[in-house]
Amino acid sequence: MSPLPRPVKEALAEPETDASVMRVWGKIQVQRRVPPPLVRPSLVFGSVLALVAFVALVWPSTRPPAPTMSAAVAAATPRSPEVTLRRVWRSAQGDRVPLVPRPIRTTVSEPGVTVTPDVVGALMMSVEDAAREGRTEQVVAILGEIGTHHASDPRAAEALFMLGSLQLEVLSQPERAVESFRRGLELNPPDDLVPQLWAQYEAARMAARPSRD
Amino acid sequence: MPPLMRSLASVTRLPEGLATEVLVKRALEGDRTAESHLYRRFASGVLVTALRLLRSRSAAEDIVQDAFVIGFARLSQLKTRAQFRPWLLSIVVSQARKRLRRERLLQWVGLDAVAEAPLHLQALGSASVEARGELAVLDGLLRQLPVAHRLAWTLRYVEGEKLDDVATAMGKSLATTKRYLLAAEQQIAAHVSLDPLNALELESER
Repeated sequence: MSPLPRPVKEALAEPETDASVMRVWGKIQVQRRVPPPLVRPSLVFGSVLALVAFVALVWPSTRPPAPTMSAAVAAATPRSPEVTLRRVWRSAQGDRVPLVPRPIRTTVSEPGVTVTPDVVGALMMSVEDAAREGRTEQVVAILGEIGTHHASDPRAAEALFMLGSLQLEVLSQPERAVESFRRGLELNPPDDLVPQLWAQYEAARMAARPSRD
Repeated sequence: MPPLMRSLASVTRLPEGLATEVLVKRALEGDRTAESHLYRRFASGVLVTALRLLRSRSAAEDIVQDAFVIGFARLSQLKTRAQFRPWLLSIVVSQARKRLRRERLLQWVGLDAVAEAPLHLQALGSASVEARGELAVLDGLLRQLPVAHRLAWTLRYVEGEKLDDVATAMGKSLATTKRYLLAAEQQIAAHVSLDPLNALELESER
């Protein structure tokens, strides 16, 4: 039996990576658009726990005794609103009621807030990248993906308009262009796009019509 | 003209075959096309390496995604622009190390991660039954090694990376990397029939 070669990869098949590479690039675009969380959930949780522990165990023994109402009034500036408030309080309740320390409010940010990734936006960026590099097949595939799987997105009609234009004017596929424009028109396109879609649709139909000569 | 069409019309093209340092320089200046070129140039290679390190396509995709996001964010920290690949590989390895350690923790509580692509399932179609058996044994041995040893050995003897690049990727000194390799080699060579290290290589490792 022959031993395994070094490097061992010579005995391994080269895995198919094209689909993964494309998929990961889309995810990278999405991930870079989502802002990172300001605080880690674990830090928030730890901070809240520490605060609760402090309030429960340490703070009551270290805080100074609550001043009586008359001492507080004497210490305060005569004209301050606090004094006015205390006067009103005293007149209503009398000095019998000691001041109760206000409970500490803890503001916790919400770590569970979910940010919906803009998949169509990421796909459009991929379209840009592919167009920039002249990869027409990829542009067509991604635009088709937007039109087919994200039809509820308002940008789907625009994507189908672009797809149809490419099929009509670059790829010489008028039949497919007709189908793309037709689907685009069905998707409730934005008002400014409707005339262009109809015009292109008619042009594609004319081009797709078999010659009678 | 729709906005997307406008943006498509306005995009610029970069010539193919630009040197990596030029692409890195342009990416640092905010050129997204250069980033895209860097990605296309190196993604496939690091994805294969990640797949061999983790034996799971989904995990490999995850760490490659994270590696590029981190890499583009920290591109200014890259000292030698031509060394983009080893630097990127070091981020991939760092992410893989975290993932493998987490998997090991999960193993301790009885939650084994499923290896979708162990080595024997990645074998060439023409590989013999015996070779597949050896690969299966090798895969099992690698899983039992300490994570750092496993990563170093896989990079060196599965992927065939240069010793310097393995050390860079591991973020360790050359001496430490050699120590990892020798420790792993002793474990593996006792159970798997592998091409012996030639004298020059053995000397280099020591």
